[in-house]
Amino acid sequence: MEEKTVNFLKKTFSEYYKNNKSRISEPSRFTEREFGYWPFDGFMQRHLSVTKFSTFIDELVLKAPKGVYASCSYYDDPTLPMEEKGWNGGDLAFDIDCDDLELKCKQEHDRWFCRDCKKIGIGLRPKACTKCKENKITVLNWSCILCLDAAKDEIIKLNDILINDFGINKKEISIFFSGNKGYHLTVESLVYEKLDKHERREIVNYVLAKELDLKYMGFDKKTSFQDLILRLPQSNEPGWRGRLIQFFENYEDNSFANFNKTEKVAKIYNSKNIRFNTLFDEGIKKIRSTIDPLVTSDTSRIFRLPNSLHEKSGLCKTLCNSIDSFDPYTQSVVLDNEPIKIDINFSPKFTLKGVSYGPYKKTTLSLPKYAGVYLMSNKLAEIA
Amino acid sequence: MITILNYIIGGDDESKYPFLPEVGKQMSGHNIQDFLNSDSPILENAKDRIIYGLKHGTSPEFNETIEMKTIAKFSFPIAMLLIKSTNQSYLISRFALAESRRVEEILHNENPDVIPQIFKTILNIQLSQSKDVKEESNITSEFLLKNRFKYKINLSDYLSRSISLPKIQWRLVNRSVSNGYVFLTQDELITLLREEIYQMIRSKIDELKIPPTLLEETALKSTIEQILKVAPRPPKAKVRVFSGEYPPCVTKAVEMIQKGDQVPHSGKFLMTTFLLRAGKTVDEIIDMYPTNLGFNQNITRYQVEHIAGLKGGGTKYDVPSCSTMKMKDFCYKTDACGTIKNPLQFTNKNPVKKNGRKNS
Repeated sequence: MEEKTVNFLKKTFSEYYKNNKSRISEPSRFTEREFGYWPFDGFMQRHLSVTKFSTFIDELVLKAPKGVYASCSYYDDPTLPMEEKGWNGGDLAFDIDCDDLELKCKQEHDRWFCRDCKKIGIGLRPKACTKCKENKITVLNWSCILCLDAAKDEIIKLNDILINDFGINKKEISIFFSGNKGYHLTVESLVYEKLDKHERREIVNYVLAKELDLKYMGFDKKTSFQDLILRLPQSNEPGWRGRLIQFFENYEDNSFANFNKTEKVAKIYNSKNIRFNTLFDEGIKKIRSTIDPLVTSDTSRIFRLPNSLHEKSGLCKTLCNSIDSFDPYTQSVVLDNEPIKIDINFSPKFTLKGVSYGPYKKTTLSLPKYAGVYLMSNKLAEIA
Repeated sequence: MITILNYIIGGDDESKYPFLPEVGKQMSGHNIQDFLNSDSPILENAKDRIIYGLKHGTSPEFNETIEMKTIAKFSFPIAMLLIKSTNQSYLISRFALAESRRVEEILHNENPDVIPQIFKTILNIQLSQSKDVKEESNITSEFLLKNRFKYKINLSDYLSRSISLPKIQWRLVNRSVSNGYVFLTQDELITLLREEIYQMIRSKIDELKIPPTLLEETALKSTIEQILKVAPRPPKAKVRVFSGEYPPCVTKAVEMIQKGDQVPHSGKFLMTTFLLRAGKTVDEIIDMYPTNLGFNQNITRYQVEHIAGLKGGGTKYDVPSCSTMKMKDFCYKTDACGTIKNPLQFTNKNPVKKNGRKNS
């Protein structure tokens, strides 16, 4: 990224923090949290404490960092090295990133760029440039509304598990659009804040349905058909037992049309024409929530601060009051529409605030600031 | 009688669970010397209780008659006093284990109405009978009956206890979880809480303060001698650790394990991660656990292999930091620790390097 582009982004970010002081509300128990920020031109600054939140915002205006963070954990002294901070608990935090969802649309919108011969290719990264055979490739992990809708589906499943299985009150759950490729969910609950990293790992494995063992759901190859019917869970049972049985009951196959629901599941299990383990894996993928396993169990991690800007998009980490109707490419666009002139290298098509832009090949254009910053943050354009 | 929640704990319960606070209150109404004369059936019963427990690994039940029930009730605190007076950690552990096993056996067949009250009183754990949650939409009596789920426990209470149980059946993902509760059968509940029952009895003995004058009582002295004469000798661990070889927290965990003391999960975890990084093999670590002390070798092996990344999800665990150990109340810092942040940084004549080898 050219220096003039960095300077433009710094100025834009600084103005955002200056004009939106009231928008960035202080996190609960902020004096106990560790804060951090990442300057455009330097290393990540961590282990900061904040005693007066407005002073911290003033500092953001001055420093104009590309990312601002606060810990989920609460400490005696957030400024000390990690080992000495004195951990007192923390929010239960989850991260869902569309890059982890193996989506088909990635094949269509992801790009790779050869730094040697400047070739631009579509789809996933090849081992070497298809033109010059050099391995000097930069990858563009693009995201589209389909990607974010898939991430939204995952966050909705997670929300359902937290409420129904873990008994977490809706009021204790906050869902945010991360500002770029997914969603964050945090739980502030006295019941769960003291869970250590091993206990949090159990929560992770539960949400991912990892190590789910069919044996404990009544499935047993050695038992008779009648006995199997008696052993199998009902679809209204709590937790994974009910969810998985619902998946099998809804499996579409006309050859089971004459059986009742439980018989159908038992027939599927004993069928010679269905690879049950493959179907089971498919079911798990469908009903689990694909969270990032490392984030939830890592109690020393710092999370992007709500309403701060994301350096890879210029969009804002936004609280989703209604996740079903949340539109990330409209509701998290917070920069103004003042026209700016930019040199675009290339860009897939994208939509912000309901307006579609691109696709572009090498061109110079005047775009609304939020769209120009979106391309510059994705390293696809420079300020002209 | 003591009323706890909606169940009234009576005389029968006091003889079965003689550590209930009510028994302590009744004891305080007596002069302890009354129990410590050689004619006292309570002193005799306490001695038998100890010897039987040390030999068989579980204490006997004395509940045939009302008289025996009363004797059994009061012989427990006297037995605690006797075993503490032996001043032998190994015997104290064996006795506590035998008593906890006796309690476990009773609990397996206990009336479900009693269980939540007993655990609330002795371990301060909030349990409910699962039949009380039928009004929840997805919990039907058919589901509870089919799975023999009699109890539900708070999810966070479940996690803190199940984490040290190695079998896959205890993983949260394989449990029935609803509305913040985990459902359990009676047998599962007792397995989940067995370590705490032991720890509760063990800590009651550890906290007991015996006036020095009492130790001069002839009947007491003679009873202790009789116990020591027939008491089994402590088994030897195959691998010994020498003071100063490892950081004090690790040394403490090893010493406690070898003495037969109950080591909290955090201590065992620290010891295992540290020794693995110090280059010890899984077998060498398992050999540090003495046999015949209630340690189930299969469970120990699974736990050590799990931490080594050979079982479960394959995660290899790091040695917890000093601040974590402090938070877990298992820091035994000495001057030799200096300003280290992690037990791995402890240096002495045989410092352990991070790559798992020792300096020569």
